[in-house]
Amino acid sequence: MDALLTLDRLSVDYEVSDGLLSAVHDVSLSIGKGEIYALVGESGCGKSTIAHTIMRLSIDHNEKVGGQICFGGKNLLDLSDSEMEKIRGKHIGMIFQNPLDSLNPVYRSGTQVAEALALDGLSKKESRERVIELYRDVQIPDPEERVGSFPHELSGGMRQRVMIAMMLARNPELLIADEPTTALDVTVEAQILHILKEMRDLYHSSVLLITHNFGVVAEIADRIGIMYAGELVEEGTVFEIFENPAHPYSKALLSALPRGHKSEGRIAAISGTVPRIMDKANQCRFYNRCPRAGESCREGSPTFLSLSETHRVRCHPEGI
Amino acid sequence: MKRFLRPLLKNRNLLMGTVMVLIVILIALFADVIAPYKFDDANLNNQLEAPSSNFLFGTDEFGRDLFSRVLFGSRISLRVAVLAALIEITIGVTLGLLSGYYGGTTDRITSFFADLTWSMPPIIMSMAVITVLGKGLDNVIIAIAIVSWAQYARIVRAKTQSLKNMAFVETAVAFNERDLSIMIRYILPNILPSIIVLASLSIPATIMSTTALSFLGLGAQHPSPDWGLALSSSMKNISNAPWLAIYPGLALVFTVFGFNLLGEGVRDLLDPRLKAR
Amino acid sequence: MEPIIRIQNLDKRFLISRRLFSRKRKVVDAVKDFSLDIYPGEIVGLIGESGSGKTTLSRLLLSLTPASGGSVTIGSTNLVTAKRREIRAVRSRFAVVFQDPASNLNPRQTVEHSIMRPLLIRGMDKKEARQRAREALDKVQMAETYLAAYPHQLSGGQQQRIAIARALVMEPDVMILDEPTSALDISVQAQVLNLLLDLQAELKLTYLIITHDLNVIRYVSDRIAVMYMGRLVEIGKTQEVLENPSHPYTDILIHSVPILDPLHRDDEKRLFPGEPGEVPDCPAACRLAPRCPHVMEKCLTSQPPMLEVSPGHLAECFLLEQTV
Repeated sequence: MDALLTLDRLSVDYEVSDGLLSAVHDVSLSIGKGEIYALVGESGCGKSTIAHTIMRLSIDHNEKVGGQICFGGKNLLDLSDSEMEKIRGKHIGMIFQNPLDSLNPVYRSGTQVAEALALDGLSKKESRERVIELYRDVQIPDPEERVGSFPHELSGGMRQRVMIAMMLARNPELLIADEPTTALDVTVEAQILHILKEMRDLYHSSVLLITHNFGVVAEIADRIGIMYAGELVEEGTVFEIFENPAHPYSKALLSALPRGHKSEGRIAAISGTVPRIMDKANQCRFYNRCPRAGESCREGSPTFLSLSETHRVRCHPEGI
Repeated sequence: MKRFLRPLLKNRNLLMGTVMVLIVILIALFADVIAPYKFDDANLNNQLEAPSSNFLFGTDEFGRDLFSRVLFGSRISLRVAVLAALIEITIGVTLGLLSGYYGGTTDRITSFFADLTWSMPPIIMSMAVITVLGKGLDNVIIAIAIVSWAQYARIVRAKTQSLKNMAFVETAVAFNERDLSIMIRYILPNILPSIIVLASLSIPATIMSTTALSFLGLGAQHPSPDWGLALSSSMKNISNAPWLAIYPGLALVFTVFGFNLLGEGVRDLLDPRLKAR
Repeated sequence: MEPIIRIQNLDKRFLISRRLFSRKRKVVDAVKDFSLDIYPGEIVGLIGESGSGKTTLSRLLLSLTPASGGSVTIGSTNLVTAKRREIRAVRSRFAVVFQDPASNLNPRQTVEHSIMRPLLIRGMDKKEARQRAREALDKVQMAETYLAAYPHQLSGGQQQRIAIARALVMEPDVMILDEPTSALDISVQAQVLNLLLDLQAELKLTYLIITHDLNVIRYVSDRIAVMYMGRLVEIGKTQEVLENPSHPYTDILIHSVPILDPLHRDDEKRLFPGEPGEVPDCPAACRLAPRCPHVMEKCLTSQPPMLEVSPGHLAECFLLEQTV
């Protein structure tokens, strides 16, 4: 696989009042060209942290980052702010959960999308035409009129489509989507997912999809990475993970999803809560909640086992 | 105890402010003990004497010890500040709660008066009230309160409106909690931090206003040791007895500055905690 | 069996000004002509997306907002026309749990106090109220030590369980749960849903669960009610509605939900044509008309009546007339 983005032993720690909080620990993964990779987990698992660390949208002085983020032959963590700025938008785009927060309410939507294009040196006329074309691509009806509308005049689904158009304007190789449909109605979500799939097919962009919604993942992801308490615990193709989840947490998570009627049986809940890992506890992070925990689980973090060329799990053979 | 000390120590404003305000409070409380003379102890033999070991801050034209007068003056400043704050807060919070919770006509009337009184310059407004009520420190307190209640009402009203729609308030209505009870148990405790911050920042403003009024002769009257009055009467002897203006002025600056720091410190303390929730 | 709540032709209208300085007021029918009977011991799942009126409905049932028309009959009282005292009496038969765990509890009250409060209002003495609070906490599987805690010290799942405990302590006839698990993680959601099911079975409660999550509704409900733009468009037993959706909107809704099986990802998708908020020009028309894939002439000029698909399964659609 031709890797577009590679995370190499990425770690993110935060200095908090009672010590060093490990938000992301030793995460290594690769996203190929033209693939949709879903990073899945519950709150506090570190998936959003990874997205923000890749994009380096803000500087947090209490944040300590280790490892590498390889993109286009460079380690993004080594780049200066101005070099990173050239990459953002042009090569790596991002769409967020709440599109209303991401669009400036006082500018027309078309203007904001055109702003992205101006960075590529298009004339005003060329910009406007390109924006209309983009709006058409993301299936916004009456694009010539909609380019003039303000964000508050658009529905949630439309705004999200404008965001996608904005991101696609510069045709980035990688699109990071952080919970892109969580705030949307189901019928709108279906439309957005449909667009994301078309974008992958039309523009050959790769997508790093951050979500906790397994339905969305089943719908559009090619590969899945499951995260727990800052670590990547299992990775595989979408079929492998759904058919054959190996890690006890993955299994538990999938069994906790309501799928049928209560008369068909109760869903299984995982007891306990996600731990706050301080000072890099040197054992399996799922230990206290794992139904298959054993002594070896406390002797250092388990290493990855390969179940197939594409399927690996961070666990001991007895646990799977 | 440690949990309370740590934020105090980290926050320099809070620390300095607390210390300074404590000093003023202690002086006010123990003025009788600390002051070498009574504030109205006149002795024409010691008129307009420069600061010396006998009279630390010098004497005024009546031979009264300035040091003692300044110390006793702290009582007046504090009393005025606290009383004015209490009246403002009571009026402002009550009206703010009612207009925020009920809206409608109550809100319209309250907002009208809030806008009206808030747009009047405090000094001029106070002068108007004094004209009606007569001179004196107590009337000054009333005048200041009339002008300043609106700032509390405004904040309380806004917060009440947003809290009213929160799930825990609607749930309370749904289990038959009465309006008054909701305002007191559910809304008020949650806006208390904002009120405290506002109060700690408005006290210095109140001190300044009352001092200005006393300076103009509308507030404290002779022989009160009020700092504003002292400043006013120091004017005629400013060239030959500058200490008469310097020391009351310094006392004023010290007190207002202390309260300002305290207010900033309190705000820093309460705001991030609110966000953390 | 007599229904415990009988909602008939409930209406709620809002007046919204079109623009900042305009006198013209637009009428929005948040809830229109809504009728539903809720029977003791059942779980009714109300599903709808934003703009469906489902949240307004819960607020109408609790008298948090006055209705514009229709009736809500509980026992012998009609909430819509009742006086304040009667409303207060009826309210005590309901308990509600809202969506956001963080704002469900008063940040300034301890857990114990939050749970006790409804009982104290009813005149119970402190000692007994405290005992009941303890029992309720136990029922939601939380340790007694949490009684002294403040909400901000708890996780979302715990906060939601406290909100449920507070609802339970009132021994309600009907519990209204408005998106009870939407803000929770998957594993926590599973805990809370199972808890709700256990409690319902043990205490013979009646639930009205309002949500946009089809998976949740399918799991817990006995009957499903589907709302679209203020109207109830379909109602019936869960399995029946899901297997045989008879209203075009229900059909689209069910087929829009991503299926938890990648093998079915290429199954036929029913995309919802048009844009959210599109209303028909004619007020008497079927609300779905501008966006309905099966729209007919009739739909643009008249409102379809509730027609029976099978006993207990009804839907508002002219298409059903043809099959009869």
